Amino acid sequence: MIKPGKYKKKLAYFWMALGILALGAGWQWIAMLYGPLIVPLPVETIKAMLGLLSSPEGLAEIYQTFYRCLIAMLLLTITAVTAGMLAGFKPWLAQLIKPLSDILIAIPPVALTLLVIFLFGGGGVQTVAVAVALGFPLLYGGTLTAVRSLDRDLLEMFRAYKVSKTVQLWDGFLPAVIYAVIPNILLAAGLVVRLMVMAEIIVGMQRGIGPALSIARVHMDTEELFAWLLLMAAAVLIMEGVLLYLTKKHLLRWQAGR
Amino acid sequence: MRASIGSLNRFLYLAGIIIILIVWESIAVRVAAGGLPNIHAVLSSLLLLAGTGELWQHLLISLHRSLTGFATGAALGFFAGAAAGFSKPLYYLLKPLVGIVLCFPAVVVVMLAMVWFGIGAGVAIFITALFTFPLIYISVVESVALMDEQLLEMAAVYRIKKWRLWWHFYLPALATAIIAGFAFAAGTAFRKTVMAELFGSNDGVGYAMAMTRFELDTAALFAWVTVCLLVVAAVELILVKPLTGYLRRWRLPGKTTEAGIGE
Repeated sequence: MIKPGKYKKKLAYFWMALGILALGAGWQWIAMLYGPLIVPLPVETIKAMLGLLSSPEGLAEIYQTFYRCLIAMLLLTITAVTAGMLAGFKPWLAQLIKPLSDILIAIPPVALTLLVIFLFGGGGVQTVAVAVALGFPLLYGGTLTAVRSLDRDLLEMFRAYKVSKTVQLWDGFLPAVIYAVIPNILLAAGLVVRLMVMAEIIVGMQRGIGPALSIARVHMDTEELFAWLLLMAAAVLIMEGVLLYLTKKHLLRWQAGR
Repeated sequence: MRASIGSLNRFLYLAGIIIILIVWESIAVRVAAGGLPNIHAVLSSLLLLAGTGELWQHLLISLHRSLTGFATGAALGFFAGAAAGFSKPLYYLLKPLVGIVLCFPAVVVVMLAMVWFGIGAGVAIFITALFTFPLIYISVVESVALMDEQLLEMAAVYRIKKWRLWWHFYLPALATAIIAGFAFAAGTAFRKTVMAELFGSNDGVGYAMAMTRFELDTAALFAWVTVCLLVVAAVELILVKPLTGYLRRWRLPGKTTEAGIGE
């Protein structure tokens, strides 16, 4: 039974390292079994990854997608956090927004992308719009939960001591909500990166990671596809794994110190 | 009191849907034909698709694929999850594999699967299975971890027979968690199938959507989107809601659909 903290850390790291080694070995074995055209060798894939990261073309594609993701994240954070905070304080608004959020969760992302193309044509702005719309339920829901779980005792105290509304907002709610929302922003960023690449491919952009993937697929260039897969997985891992872990740790300490 | 809050919430939810429909309809009326189709156009397109049999043909193909992929991924996730739940070394051994799959962008894997399997059912089934696996795996591992250790110790003290322990303790706990995990992964599975079909198939709902783009048939696209939403809503109402209600009665952890947000 997995109880965190009870199992020796060193042993856990040992088995995880073994797991990574086994993954690498399994990959190598499958690559040798099926041939490098179907599954490229790990060494070749790492070379291709380094090639993408050091060539001006590869960096240009990454920069394009990164730039779009950044704008999408800015817009997403503003809209979803604002909506989440408003809905958190006004339960009727939350209930009113729920159908929209439910639809955005249920709709197949490819379908929403096609809808946006039909209505607004293709282009970089449209890929950003797709990512913002599909990322909305996650960050909105996270903010809503954060506001709802605000310390009720603190709110009582504010009322008892007649703390002014502005002080309540700036020194009470905002820091608490922002801290609680940061993990959700990281999760949303991981989602936006994945959505962006999908949107780029369907919209048919000229530049970016998505188009690079389409071209690699047409050329049956599995080496490059594997390289992109691992690069993007690493990017998502950094956001959803490493950064999330660090902020949660920091957050716990902050809450304990309060 | 509680009932009235519930009905107020239901009313507000309904109001939200009506607002969406009104906004849609009023924009659709103003935008000239060829832009946003109005509700009537979408409904008649939906009836047309149902009448020609196109709807059922593609829908059945997609449902079949997502069920096959889901069953494969869920079976693998279940056995791996149950084994890892009882063995810590195995849990940590599998952690990198599950972690990396969770980080994969689905589109990139779709592109790879198209090179491997070519255009056809293989891509959709592979993608659905691959992305169902970690969801079921995690829910099974968690359910094993949540089993009451004190109860187990008590069972050991009273020397309860192994098979009785399995029958009365492990199996019910696992079954409920699996049902909950299955229910919330089902919607995800359907969306993944549609995505895979859009890129790498020449039939199914995803393919039908891609075709509306070439035929510039906006009403048909809206009709297909409606079909997808109805499928997910049906899963939610027939599977998820009753099951989570049942689980809550037994005070067992249920899954919310929010965990299903993804590409």
